[in-house]
Amino acid sequence: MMFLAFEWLALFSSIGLAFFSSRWIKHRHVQQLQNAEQRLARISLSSASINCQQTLGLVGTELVISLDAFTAFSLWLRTLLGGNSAGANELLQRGRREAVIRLKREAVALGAKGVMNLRFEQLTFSSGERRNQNRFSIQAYGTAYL
Amino acid sequence: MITSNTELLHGYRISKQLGLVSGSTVRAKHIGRDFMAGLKNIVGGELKGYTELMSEAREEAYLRMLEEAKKMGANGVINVRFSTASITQGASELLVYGTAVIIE
Repeated sequence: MMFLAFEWLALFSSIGLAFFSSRWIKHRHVQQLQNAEQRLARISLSSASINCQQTLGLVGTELVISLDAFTAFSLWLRTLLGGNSAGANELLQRGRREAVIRLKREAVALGAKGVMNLRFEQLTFSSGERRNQNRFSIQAYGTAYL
Repeated sequence: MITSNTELLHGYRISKQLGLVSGSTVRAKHIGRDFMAGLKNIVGGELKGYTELMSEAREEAYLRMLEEAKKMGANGVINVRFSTASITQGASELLVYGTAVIIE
């Protein structure tokens, strides 16, 4: 009986650890995003082509992000019930913000005033393989200008 | 070589359009990266190994496109577009295409 109790305890504590560390990772990421966005606020973004002095060249970044197991589970529930999955939506938005920040860093390295003609491209890896589900590749690219 | 995803190059004059150039690459991931990514899937967040893989693939496709443009005698590529597709389990194709031009 003692051994069984210990096993349950180990199971619940590892689930709890995973849960809280996923929360912590998310919280830290949001703070990093906010800090970086403040620092890079002077770089302007546009999805249209802008009449500028000089074109500096193409900039582009991408990143691959994954849902945590708990959000993935809530997303799975959502696919049964229908409706909006706040968790998945939030993750994709965070991913795009991160991609934009990296794009801005590249623009800064070129000495640009901003990035125009911004485009987002997305790719899911869920081509049948179960372990590939809930992974998203987000790509952002544009033209740096002066 | 100057590249842009806009139709015009501000600050330069395009003297001749040479035609379409493209570069593509198909990349697959390897098992070591996949194992770490599997662990990361529990807590969520960025999969750095995968990000690197995608960056390498994009860089390679982009360089292939530039090489093709160089062969045509171009010194710029305008209206560049990226396109990605997941082709089979664990492999994806990255395509970059644009219009090669001569700028003064």
